[in-house]
Amino acid sequence: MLELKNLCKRYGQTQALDNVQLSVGPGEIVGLFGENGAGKTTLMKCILQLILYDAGGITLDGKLITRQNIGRFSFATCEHSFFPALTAKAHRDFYEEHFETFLGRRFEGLMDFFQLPMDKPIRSFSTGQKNQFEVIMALSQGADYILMDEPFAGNDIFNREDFYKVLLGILEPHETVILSTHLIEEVPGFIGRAVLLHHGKIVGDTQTAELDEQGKTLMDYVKETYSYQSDRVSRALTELTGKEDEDA
Amino acid sequence: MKKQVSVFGLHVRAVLPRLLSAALGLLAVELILTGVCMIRGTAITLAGSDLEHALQYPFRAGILALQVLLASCFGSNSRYGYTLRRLRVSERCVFLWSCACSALCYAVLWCVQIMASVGAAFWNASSARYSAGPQGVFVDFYRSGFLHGLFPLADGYVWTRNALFVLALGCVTAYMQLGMRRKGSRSWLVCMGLTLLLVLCLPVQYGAGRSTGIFHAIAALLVGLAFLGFGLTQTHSGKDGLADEVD
Repeated sequence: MLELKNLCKRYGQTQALDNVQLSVGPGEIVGLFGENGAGKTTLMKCILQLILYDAGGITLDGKLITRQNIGRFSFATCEHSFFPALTAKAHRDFYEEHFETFLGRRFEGLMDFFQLPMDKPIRSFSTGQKNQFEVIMALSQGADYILMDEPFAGNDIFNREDFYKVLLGILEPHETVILSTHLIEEVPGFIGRAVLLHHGKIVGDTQTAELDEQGKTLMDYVKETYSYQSDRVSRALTELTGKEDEDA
Repeated sequence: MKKQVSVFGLHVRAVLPRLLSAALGLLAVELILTGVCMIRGTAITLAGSDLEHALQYPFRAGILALQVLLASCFGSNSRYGYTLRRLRVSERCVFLWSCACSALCYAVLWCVQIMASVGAAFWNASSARYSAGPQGVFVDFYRSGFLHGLFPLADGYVWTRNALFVLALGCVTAYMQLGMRRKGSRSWLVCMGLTLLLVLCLPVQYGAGRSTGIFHAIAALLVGLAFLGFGLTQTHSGKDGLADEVD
C-alpha cells in the first residue's frame, strides 16, 4: 500500500501540493487528473523521491521510501528517462542487472508488438517511438507501482488505444498503475479510480464503477468537480466580438 | 559489486563510440599534418620543428573535443538521471564511476597520442637524409618539451604530473556530465576553461620536472579535488533515502 500523508510542497510562493492525503493499494489503476500546474507531476516526483517535499510523509507498505525499496517503483515520463545514446538492447541488459524483477519476456513482447528496433540508439527513434519505449521500460522493470506522467504526449490516437489495450492485457493483479493524463475521454475504460487535483489539493477521488452506477461519465464528474462553466466560451466570445455567439 | 560494475559498464558503453571517434579523428588529422610536414621537408630533430607543432596542437584540441563528447555521452533531451536515481547504487557512486571512466578515456587518448608521436618520429627519422636513427627518436623525447611532457621516459615527476592531469580531467568531465543530467548547469565554461589551462601546460622541458612538473601536478591535483568535491557534495549518498532537489 502506497500512502501519502499530509504531503506539502511549495515552489517559492506557489503551493504545489497542499496537505495531500492518498492511499493506493495493490492492483489499482488510478487516473490522476488536473489542470496544468495542479501538482500531478510534483506528486509523482515526490513519491519517487526525485524532489524534496516540505512536510508530510510517504510510505510504501509502512516503510519510508529509500534506496532499498525505490526499485518497486517505475516511472514513465513525457520528459523521458532513458539513455538516448544507448540501444534498446543495452537498456535491457542494464535493467536486468539492476532490477531482479525485470520482465524480459514482457520487454521482448512489447518491443515486438510496437516493432521497435533493438540495435539502434533510442535518440534515432521518432517521438512516438520514444514514448513507446519509455512506457515499455516502465512496464518491464517488474515494479509493483508503475507511475506514468503524460506518457503518450505526441502519440497518435491509434497508438494510444493500442497501449491501453495492451496494458489491460498484460498487467498482473498486484501491479498498480498511477497514470497522469489530460486525455480524460480516452481512459474511462482503462482506469478503476479517478483522483482529481486542483491547486495542489485533492478535490475528487472516486471509483469509476461508482460513476457507472450513478450514470455519470468521467468527464461529467471532472466538470462537476471543477465547477466547469460550459457557457464561458460563448460569454467570452460575446465580450470579445461584441455579438452573440450563434452556436451558443 | 555486480551492480557497481554494471554502472561502470553503462558508462563504458556510452563513451566507447565517442572515444573511438575522437581517437580516430586525432590520428587522421595528425597523419595528414605529418604527411604535409614530411613533404615540405624532414627535420633533423623534432624539437621546435613543424612536425612537433603538427602533433602538439591537434592533441590539445583532441582533449577538448573528447571532453565535450564525454560530457554529453548519454545524449541530451532526456532526464536519464531519474533512472539512475531509482537504482540501488547511490548517485555518488555513479559520479565516481563516471570519474573513473572519463579518466580512463583520457588515458587511452594519451596512449594513442604517444603511439602517434613515436610513429611520426620514426617516420621522420627514416625519411631524413641526415638522421641519428632510433637513438635520435629517443633523444627527441628529451629535447622536445611537448614530447617529453607526453612521454617522459625516466622522469618520474612528469609521470606523476601526467597521471594527475588524467585524473583531474576525469573529475572535471564527470562534473560536466552531472551538470548535463541535472540540466540548467552553467559550469561548462568554467570546466572547459580549466581544461584549456591544463592542456596549455602539457609541454615540460627535460630537467624541469622537479620545478614545473610539480607545480603542474599541484595545479592538477587542486582542480581534480575541487571538482571531485563539488560532485560528491552535489550528489546523494543514498544513506537516508532522501532526495536532492533536481528541479
